[in-house]
Amino acid sequence: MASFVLRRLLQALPVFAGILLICFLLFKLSGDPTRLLAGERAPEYVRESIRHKFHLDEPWYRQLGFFASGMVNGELRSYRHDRPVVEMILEGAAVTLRLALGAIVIAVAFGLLAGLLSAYRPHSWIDYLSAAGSSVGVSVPAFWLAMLLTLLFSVHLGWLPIGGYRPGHLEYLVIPVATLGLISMALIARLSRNCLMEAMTQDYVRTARAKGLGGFQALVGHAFPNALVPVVTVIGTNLAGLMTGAVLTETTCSLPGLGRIIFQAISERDHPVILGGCLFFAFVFVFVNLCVDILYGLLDPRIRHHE
Amino acid sequence: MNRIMAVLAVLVAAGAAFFLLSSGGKTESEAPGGPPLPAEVQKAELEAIAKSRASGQAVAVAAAVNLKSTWTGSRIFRFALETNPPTLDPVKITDVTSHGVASKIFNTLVRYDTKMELIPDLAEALPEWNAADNSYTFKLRKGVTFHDGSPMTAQDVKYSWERLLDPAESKRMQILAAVKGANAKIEGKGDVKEAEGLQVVDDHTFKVVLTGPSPTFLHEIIMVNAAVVPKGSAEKATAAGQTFSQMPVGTGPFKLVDWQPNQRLEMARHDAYFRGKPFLEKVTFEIVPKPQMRLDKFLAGEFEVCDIPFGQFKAMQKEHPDLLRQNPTFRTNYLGISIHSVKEGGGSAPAEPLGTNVKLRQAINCAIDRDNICNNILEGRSKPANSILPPAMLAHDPNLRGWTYDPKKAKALLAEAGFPEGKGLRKLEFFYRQDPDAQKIAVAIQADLQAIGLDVDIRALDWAAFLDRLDKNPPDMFYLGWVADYNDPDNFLYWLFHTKQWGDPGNHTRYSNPQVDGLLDKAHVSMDRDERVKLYQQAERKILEEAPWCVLETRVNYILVQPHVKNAQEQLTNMDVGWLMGSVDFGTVEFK
Repeated sequence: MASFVLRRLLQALPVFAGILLICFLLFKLSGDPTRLLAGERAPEYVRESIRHKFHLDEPWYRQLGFFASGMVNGELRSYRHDRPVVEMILEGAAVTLRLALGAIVIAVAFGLLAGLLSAYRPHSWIDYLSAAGSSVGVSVPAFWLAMLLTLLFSVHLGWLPIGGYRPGHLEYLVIPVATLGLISMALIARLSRNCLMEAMTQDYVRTARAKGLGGFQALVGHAFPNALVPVVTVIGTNLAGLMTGAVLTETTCSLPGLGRIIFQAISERDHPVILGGCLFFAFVFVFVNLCVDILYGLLDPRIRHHE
Repeated sequence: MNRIMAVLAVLVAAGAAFFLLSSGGKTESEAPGGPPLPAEVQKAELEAIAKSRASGQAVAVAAAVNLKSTWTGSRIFRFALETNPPTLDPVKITDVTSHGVASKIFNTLVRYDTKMELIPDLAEALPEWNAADNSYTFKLRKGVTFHDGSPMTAQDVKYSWERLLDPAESKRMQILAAVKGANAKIEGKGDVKEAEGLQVVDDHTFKVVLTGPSPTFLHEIIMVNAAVVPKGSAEKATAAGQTFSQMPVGTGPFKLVDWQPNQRLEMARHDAYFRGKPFLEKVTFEIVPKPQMRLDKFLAGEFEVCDIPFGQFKAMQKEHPDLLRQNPTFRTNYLGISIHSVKEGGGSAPAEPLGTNVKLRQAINCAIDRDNICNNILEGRSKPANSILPPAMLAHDPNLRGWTYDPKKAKALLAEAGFPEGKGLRKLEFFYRQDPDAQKIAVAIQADLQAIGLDVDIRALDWAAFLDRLDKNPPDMFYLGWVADYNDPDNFLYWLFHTKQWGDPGNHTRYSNPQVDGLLDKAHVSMDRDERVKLYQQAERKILEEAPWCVLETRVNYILVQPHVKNAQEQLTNMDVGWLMGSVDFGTVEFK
């Protein structure tokens, strides 16, 4: 197992190098960042001194070297904000991670429950309700729902704060977590129902029923674990997607997450922060995929990895 | 099976636990943002908001409730900020957000009163200009202490200004560019330690020698960049493993006590503030990027002041007229017409066809309906401009009529220009910065120009790309605004029309007229205010006639202020919610 994990992490190194190269190329194409940094009407000598400070007056391969070494030793500083990039990324990631984990927990809990109930009583009112709910959940844009919920619960009823974020206050996360989790919840509900229905037609379930197990026990005890593999895949890819794709929800709900930090960095041409954000996202994808692969082995001995 | 369920259960539980635990990071001893409004006020107000949303009607209840005074006894002034301030180190500030926040912490030697006239701040009096050696001598106030308790002396002023001129620290060296020895220090890249023009006479006297007469010097140093910080404070911060931005020390009415980047900042009262202990105990800044959310929070009583989002101005005028305050701004928005283009590999050439044909430019000036832009698109938040200089500014000429909307005259001028009804003219390019205001204005301009026969292609770019395009390959026309940094026409006319200022420094149209240059040069170094006013008015008339700009509108800044905020209406100049206009004293604000 350890060597498997190590090998997978080593395989990710070229990914990071590639991202560094692509980002660097795009930075070079997007023009001189000192124009925004120095402010309007700044004389050339101010821009020159800023260029000098951030090594922008050196040959491209040395600039690339500064980015690479700065990323490795964590000393790369933001052009615009007087702080290390690592600090800014981790700060944003802490908020986004809370948001994404909250959303996935809700999605898994309610999605699996709905899937189980639908599969237990297919074509019943529960099933139809869950199907209808899922269709709506997948179709409704998260930012729009967040706005409606804010209007209802925050502005009209006054139960929840109107957006923003304060560490230690969970009430700020209720609306964003609910809206962000909705799509994944709908996906998981439908997927788990279908996988369960399929598993219920398998021979081993018939055998289980034949030995006298009730429908519900057969469903939970035998079909459920086998139906989980595709669900875990969806959870994995969704978690990574939620981390990287929470930009709209973060913007709508004014959360200081990673998406907002990177979006702002892009409009300010704050190259080190953009680079840090991209590398962090790449890391999240690599890490989550790795976890999913390991989970497969735990859930289904047939696809256990060979040492 | 059991093992699988256990794995799943552990996973879900771990996720949930992390989510819950990690959110509970820090408890705050005091309710941040101050106590809430009394329940009945809050409820009535929220009902009023709900009703007004539903019906779109003016709500009398809201006004009545608001006038009952919303003060709850709290002494916390709560601001909303659009972005996290990039830095609170005065010498590194180049943006309005940081400037607004830092101006509560720091003082400068001079500042503006509410009429935007210079008055002393840390200085005892405005210094006299000494023409003999081109110098100002500042007598400093006695008994001023920094947040760390140390007294403010001339040594601190020297330290602060040497730092402002140090290319390794500063991003705004240009503010002191007129000081003798400044150039040597800027070009010395850190090897030159001191500028000879910055001289400590005694503990409370500071002398600045300039390279020549500079009528704008005192205006430049009102910027928070020139704020006075204690000697050695930046080095102290570095020694503590921090930056000065993280632990700023000033003389201002408030000191920074907490900064959660991208979330909030908190400042506590500076009890030994030299103008007396401020009424307010705290000032907080919450970062809320979305304009509509700032407004919702303000209406729910969470902020003392608020800006008005695009599209909401008319509604606010109807629903909360008693909360609206207005300030003039030093902002003029214009349609720029490129006079010279940039050749590839450097150099420039007259821009065809607009740059070489003054009649064509005048036709454009007559074709645009400024009333439509101001009243319909901008909901009355802007006034049609007749001149380049905004009405609040020194040397503004109220008799100047500029160009007004007259489509018939525009067509006649177009024919005189050699393009009757636009025949024979190629399609023109018009660029603007991507934002909702500019988008609608660009469409209106396109329609107006279409009406006289000009075919115009409009395109949006983001701010950085837009500036880059203006610099490297200027389009035929563009929409841009200028906000003066201080109350002097030099910051408009010299910066934006002098040949020396071509391109990035401000003259984006690359307009050039030796006669205008002569007038501006003369005014740039004259210390005689009346003479300068005359020179600027002469130059402005000439520029308007040659029409490198089509002056469109001058913005009026509207903000919403809670009724319990007193002594602040005039103090809350634009910079407190957006535009930078100077340093104001926040120590006098009260609640009632």
